Amino acid sequence: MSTAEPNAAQGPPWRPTPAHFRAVAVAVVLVAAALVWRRPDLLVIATPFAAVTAWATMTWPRCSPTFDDTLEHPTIREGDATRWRGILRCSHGDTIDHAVAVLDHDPWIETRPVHGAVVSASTHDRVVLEVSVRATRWGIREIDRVNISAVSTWSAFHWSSATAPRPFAALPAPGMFDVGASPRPSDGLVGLHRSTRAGDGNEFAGVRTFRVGDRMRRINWARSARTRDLQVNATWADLDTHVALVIDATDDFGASDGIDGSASSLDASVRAGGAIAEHYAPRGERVSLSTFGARVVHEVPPGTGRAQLRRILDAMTRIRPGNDLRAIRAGRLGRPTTGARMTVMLSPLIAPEALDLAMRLGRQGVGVVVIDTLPDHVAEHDDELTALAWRVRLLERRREVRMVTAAGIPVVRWRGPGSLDEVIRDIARRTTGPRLVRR
Amino acid sequence: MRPDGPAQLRRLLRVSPQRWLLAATAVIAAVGTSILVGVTGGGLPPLVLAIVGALAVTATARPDTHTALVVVGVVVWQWLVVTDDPTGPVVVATALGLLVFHTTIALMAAAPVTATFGTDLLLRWLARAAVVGGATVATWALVLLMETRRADGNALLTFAGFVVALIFVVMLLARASASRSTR
Repeated sequence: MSTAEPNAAQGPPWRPTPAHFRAVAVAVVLVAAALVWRRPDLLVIATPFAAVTAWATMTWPRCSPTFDDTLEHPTIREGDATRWRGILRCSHGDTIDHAVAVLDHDPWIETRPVHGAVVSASTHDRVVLEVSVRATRWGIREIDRVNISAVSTWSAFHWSSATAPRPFAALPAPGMFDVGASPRPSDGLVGLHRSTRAGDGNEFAGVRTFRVGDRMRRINWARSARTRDLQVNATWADLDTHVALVIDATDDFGASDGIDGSASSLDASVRAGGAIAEHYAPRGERVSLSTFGARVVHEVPPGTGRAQLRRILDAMTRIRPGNDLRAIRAGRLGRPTTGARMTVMLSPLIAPEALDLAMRLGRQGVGVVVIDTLPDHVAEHDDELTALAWRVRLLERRREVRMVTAAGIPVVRWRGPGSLDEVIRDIARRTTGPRLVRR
Repeated sequence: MRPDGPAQLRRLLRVSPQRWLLAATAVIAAVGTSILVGVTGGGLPPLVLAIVGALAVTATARPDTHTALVVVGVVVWQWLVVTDDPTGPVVVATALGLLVFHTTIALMAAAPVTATFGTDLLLRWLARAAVVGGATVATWALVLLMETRRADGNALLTFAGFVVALIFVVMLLARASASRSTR
């Protein structure tokens, strides 16, 4: 279990509450009145207030409480939950009755108890407060601040403090994606040089200890029987492919209801990109990530393995739509590339620049697949004029997509597993033939 | 700026069921005590009842203010004005009613409206209120004793008895905290 750095909060001293003032005031006034007017009945009425005052004063905490809070997991998947835990400590002998924590958080966080308020009674000299926190959307989620308050016996004295904001990363949900076709360009015999990376392949690399994720058919039974430990045959990766993910973050279209509801265009792009990276990166394929139009341009250079997958997912959590098209105009993504590369562009295809970029990459001989992530509900709008404008734009967009498709760049809707099979087969077939590349 | 209607409705919907129960307990304790005082005193002005009710509701809505003090003040003033039998059982019922009101408001002030108190915490508060209620009954018993003996100047003697009862409560508390620290 990983634990985030604890925040330590130390607030002002204990202050009397209106409840304590009420008890003291009623007790003093009624006892005085009883003595002055010789009214024993007033003394009876004053008794509970006087007893409460005496009790509260006796148990007045004089310590200066300290508060530490931690988040159980600083990185989770969207839809998963982690636990915020705070411990309020007071020196031994002082009496805290109970403490309350109220979490302020962004709208993509759900808490249990609902509304993020938890009350916990003290045990000995400390109070433990726990709230389950669930991220309902990918991104950097933040528990803005936690307001802590503690009260003494009879709620007579009050102490309060607040913690610093505590951000945590919610990685895109592991989307369902599988592909049967291989994007590897079959240029024939590659040569005498094998791949420099270990991975799935035919070239024997050595025998090593079994690791989680190894295939059963790779187990070397003879060696395992001798060493009494599972051993597998390691191989060098065959030809590797570079899958370049390009995410269009110029804007986020459609309403997002988080993991449990409808998805916006950026939700669909990020989840689809995450699923593709999750499919290829752990299998030894090189995967890279670029964004354009985002508030901050994120680029993850090509790499393989689970660490690369984690880097890509981390970068995805930081994508914010920015309506910034400079990255495309500067030609950062459209620069010529070498080697076998399949570019997967994830875009709602509303900004014409995205299709221009796809065309440019296609002209350079790069295999490009455009995944259309515009949600269906985007044209549904209460305002008739807005809905009409959307319908007109969608008609224009249909024409633009037809033009791109006619130029040989496939545009497909994201449908999860098998979405890309057909187009990847097409790309692989095309790369076997002679190509005209603009130099 | 005051929140609009839907915003207020949303705020009301966020209130926990337990909070509604505590608020009802506080209002019933205040209004019930006022009715009891009025009925046994021979007169129950609707205006006083309305004032106590309105103030009690306000106090439950804003328990961290001094509105609850005003409620207690109004009920005590009503007691002083209308009561004919100062040492009858109504006085102890009034004291216990005000204790319930004070305790409930103090508990409500200690947490936001969305929070829910655990059973252990409620039992702890109930036990404390029972101890204080016992001290109140003991004080009333002392008053009755002096009433039956027709002792003059009994306010001072009652005060002495009150102090004795208070010492008894303090001793109980000391024993309770000692046993807690040895656990």
